[in-house]
Amino acid sequence: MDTKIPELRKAHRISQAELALAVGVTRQTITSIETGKYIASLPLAYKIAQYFNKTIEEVFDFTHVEDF
Amino acid sequence: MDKYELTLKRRKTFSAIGLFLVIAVLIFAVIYQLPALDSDERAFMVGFQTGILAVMIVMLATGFYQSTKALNDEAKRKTMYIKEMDERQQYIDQKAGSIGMNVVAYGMSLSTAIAGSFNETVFFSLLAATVFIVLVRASLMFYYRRKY
Repeated sequence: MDTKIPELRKAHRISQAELALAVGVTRQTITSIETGKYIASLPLAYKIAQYFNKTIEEVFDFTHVEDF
Repeated sequence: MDKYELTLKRRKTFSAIGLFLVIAVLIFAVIYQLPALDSDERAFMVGFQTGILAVMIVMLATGFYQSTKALNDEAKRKTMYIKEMDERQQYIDQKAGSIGMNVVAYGMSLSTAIAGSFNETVFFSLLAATVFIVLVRASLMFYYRRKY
């Protein structure tokens, strides 16, 4: 899943470690989400979106999620 | 965080109790079994037991030390909390645990079948272990199906 976290981090001038600490996960989790290796849970996605004052859809790209 | 502080306090107490018990068992095992070391196999078994107990002592001591340190330092406590509650780490643990259990169950079943052709004692030991693993897995599946 694509995310806009790297761009948002750059805009807010914060590191992965700082974001991780703010939302209560490890830096490795943020790295994995940014590289698309791991999909954040709904509560974590919400926390990240809240941190940047955005909605979940504005941070995470759901266009590639398959329809069942 | 208050809940986690309680968990750490409990962990510290259990580590201390565990440490005391394991050291007592180790001392007893060494004193009791040393005179009976009459063969290489026996010596290997006692060495293995001592090694396992020594590893348990190191793990319990580490747990005790880390809990004490975290209880006295808020920043350390927060870092430890994040590391333990990290959702990706929990996902990895769940994946590794469930796949690992399947691999062990299949491996043990195969070993049991092969051992049946060679040695009766090994066969029944492996069979008991396999049944135990399968029962644990089935019980956990039943429990979590009811829970979620």
